[in-house]
Amino acid sequence: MNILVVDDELELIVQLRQALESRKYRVEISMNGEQALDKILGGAYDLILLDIMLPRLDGFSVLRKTREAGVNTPVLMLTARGDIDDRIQGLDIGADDYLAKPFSMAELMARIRALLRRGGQREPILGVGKIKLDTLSRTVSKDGEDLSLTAKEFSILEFLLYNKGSVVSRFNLAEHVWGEDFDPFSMSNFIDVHIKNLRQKIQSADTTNIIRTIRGIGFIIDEAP
Amino acid sequence: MKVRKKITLWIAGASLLSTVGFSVFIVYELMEVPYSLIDQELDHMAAMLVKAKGLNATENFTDNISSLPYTPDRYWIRISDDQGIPLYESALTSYTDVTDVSGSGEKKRYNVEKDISRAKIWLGQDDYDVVTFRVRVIKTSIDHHPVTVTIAKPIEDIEEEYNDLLRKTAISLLFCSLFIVVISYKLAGKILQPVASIAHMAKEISEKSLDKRIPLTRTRDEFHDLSQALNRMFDRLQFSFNRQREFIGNASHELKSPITLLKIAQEELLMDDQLSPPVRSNLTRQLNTTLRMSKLVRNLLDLSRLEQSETIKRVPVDLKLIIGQVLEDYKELLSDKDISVDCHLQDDLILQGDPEKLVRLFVNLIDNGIRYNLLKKGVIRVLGEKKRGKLLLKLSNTGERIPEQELSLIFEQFYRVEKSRSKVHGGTGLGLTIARKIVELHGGTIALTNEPGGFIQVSIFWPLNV
Repeated sequence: MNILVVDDELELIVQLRQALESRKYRVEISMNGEQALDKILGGAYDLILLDIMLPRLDGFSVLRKTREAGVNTPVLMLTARGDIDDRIQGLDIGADDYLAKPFSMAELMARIRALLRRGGQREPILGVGKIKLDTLSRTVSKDGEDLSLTAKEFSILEFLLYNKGSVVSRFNLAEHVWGEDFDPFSMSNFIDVHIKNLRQKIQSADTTNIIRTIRGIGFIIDEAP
Repeated sequence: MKVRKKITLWIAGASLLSTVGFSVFIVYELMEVPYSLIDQELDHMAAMLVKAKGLNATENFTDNISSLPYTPDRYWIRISDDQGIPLYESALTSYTDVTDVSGSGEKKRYNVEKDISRAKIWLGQDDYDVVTFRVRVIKTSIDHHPVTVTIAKPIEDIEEEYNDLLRKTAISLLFCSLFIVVISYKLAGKILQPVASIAHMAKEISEKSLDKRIPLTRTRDEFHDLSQALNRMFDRLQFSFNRQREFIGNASHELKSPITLLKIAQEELLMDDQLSPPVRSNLTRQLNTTLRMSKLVRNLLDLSRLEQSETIKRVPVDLKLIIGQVLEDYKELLSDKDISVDCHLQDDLILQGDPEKLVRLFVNLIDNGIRYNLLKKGVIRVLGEKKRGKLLLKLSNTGERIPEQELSLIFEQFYRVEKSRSKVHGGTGLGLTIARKIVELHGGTIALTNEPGGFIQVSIFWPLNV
C-alpha cells in the first residue's frame, strides 16, 4: 500500500512516516502543493493524506486539479481547520474524508483502513474469526446470525476492527465513540463497561476471547491465535 | 448634574451682574435729572430777574417782575451787590434763610434743610416740617456792577420720588434675578442636552455592540467634534478588540499542529508494551497533559470562531431530541457519579438553529451539571416549555451554592468560583463562555441562579418568532 503524505510541517511528516511505516505502509512525502500535484499526477498511490494549508498551492486546489485530471485516488484531508464549512468544501470538491488536527494515530489508522477498503472496491465488510461487521448496513453477525449491538458497542467494535492487530487506548476509543465535544477523560472510564457487554455478546463457549485487554494501554482485536 | 449647576451659576452670575450694573447706572442718571432740571429752572429764573432788574430802575422792578412768566413768590430769591447789600428779596426770605451758613460761601449749588411751615411754601397744611431747598448761587452783573443772585426752591417731592425709584428698582431686580436663575437652569440643561445624549449612546456601546456609533449632529459644532472623537476612539477600540480575538484564534490554530505532533508521538511510544512501568506512567501523564492542552486549544478556537460569527444557520432543531441524545451519551457517567436525571420537556420544543452548536451547548451545560454536582445522590433537572412566544429551558443541578456576586461572572472566560478546585473538577474554564455565546447567537439570553433545595439553575430564554 502506497501512501502520499502532503504536509508542510517536517516534524509531523517524520512522525507520520514513522508511524505508517511501522504499520507496513510505503510512504512518500511532499511538502508543498505544486510538488504534491506533480507526484499525484505522475505516480500511483493508494491513498493521499492532504493538508489544506500548503505553500505554493493550497490543499483545496491540489485536490481540485487531481480530480479534474481524472485521478480518483482516495484523499483524506488533514487540517488544523475544523470549520464545518471547510469540511463541506473539502468533501464537495472530492475529498473522501476529513480529519481535524489534533487527531490521534488510532483515529487516523481507522480512517485510512476504511478509505483503503473503499478505494479497493472491496466489500465494506470488516471481520475477525466468525464475526462480520458491515460498515454500510451497520450490522454485525456471527456465523451468519445477526447480533444486536447498541450504537456504542458497534462503534467500539468497528474502531477496534479498523485497527485490527494494533492496540487501541481507552482514551482513543472514548474520543471516537463519544465525539470531540465530550471530555474523553470522564468517558474513557466507561469503555470497560461497554467492552464487557460487547464480549458477552460476541463470544460464546466455543470462541476464545477475541477482544484482549492490554494492561495499562487498552484493547486489541486479533485473529484468534 | 454638577456641570449643569456650574453653568447655571455662570449664566445667572453674568446676567445679574450686568442687570445690577445697568440698574445702578439708570438710577444714578435718573437722580441727576430732576436736579439738573431744577437747576436749569433756577438759572432761567435768575437770568430773567437779572434782566428785569436795572440797577437804577428800582421803582420799575415790581412791574417788571409781575410781567415774568413765573411768580417769584414761589422762590426764595435774594439779589445782593458786592458789598452784600440786598438789592431784591422775595417774600420767602422773611421766613427762612437758605444761604450757606457753613462759611465757605463758594458753592454754586447745594441742598439745604430748613424747618418751615409748609403753608408758606404751598406744600400743604400750616405745620412746621423739615423741607429741603435746592439752592443756586449765581455771580453775575447788572449794568457792569457785580451782583450775587441766590435763588432756591423747596424740593421735597424729589426725595420721595427718589426713594420710590430705589424701592421699585430693588423689587424688580429681585424678580429679575429669580427669573434669570430659572432661565439659566433651563438653558444649562439645553446646552448640556447633547452631552447627555452622547453619554447615553456611549453607554449603549458595549463589548457586544462595538459596531454601534454615536449619531453625528448636522451642525458642525463642538458636540459634533466630541461625537466624532468618541467614534474614532470606538473605532480603535473595536479594531484592537477584533485584533485580540483574531489573535486568540490564530494562536490556537497555530498550536494545533505541534499538539498533534506531541499527541501522536506520545501515543506511539505508549503502544510499546515493553515499556517499564515508571516510564509508562510518566508518559501517560505527559499524554494526559497534551490532551488537556488539545482540549483547551480546541475550546479557545471554538470560542474565537463563535465570537467572530455573526449569523448562524437556521434549521428546525428538536431540542427534546438532542437533549435526550446528550443525556444518553452521558448515561454511564451519570450513573457512575450517582446522579439521577429528572427530565420534563414539552414535545414540540422546536428551535430554528444550528444543530451542531446546540448539541455543543447542551454537552457543555450537562457536563458542568455533572462536574459540579454533589458527590452522592446528585440530581440534574431539565425543564423545557413554551410560554408566551418564548422557549424556556431550565437546567438545574444539585451542588454547592455559588456566591451571588459571582453568578454573572461565571460566564466569563477562565472564571472559576474557587480557583483551587479546577484541578479537582477538570474542564477548561471555557465551557460556560461557549454556552453563553451559542445561546446569544441564537438570539437568546442565559442566566445562572441559586434555587431553593440546593439547586443551581441555568435558565435560557429564546424568543420563538425569529
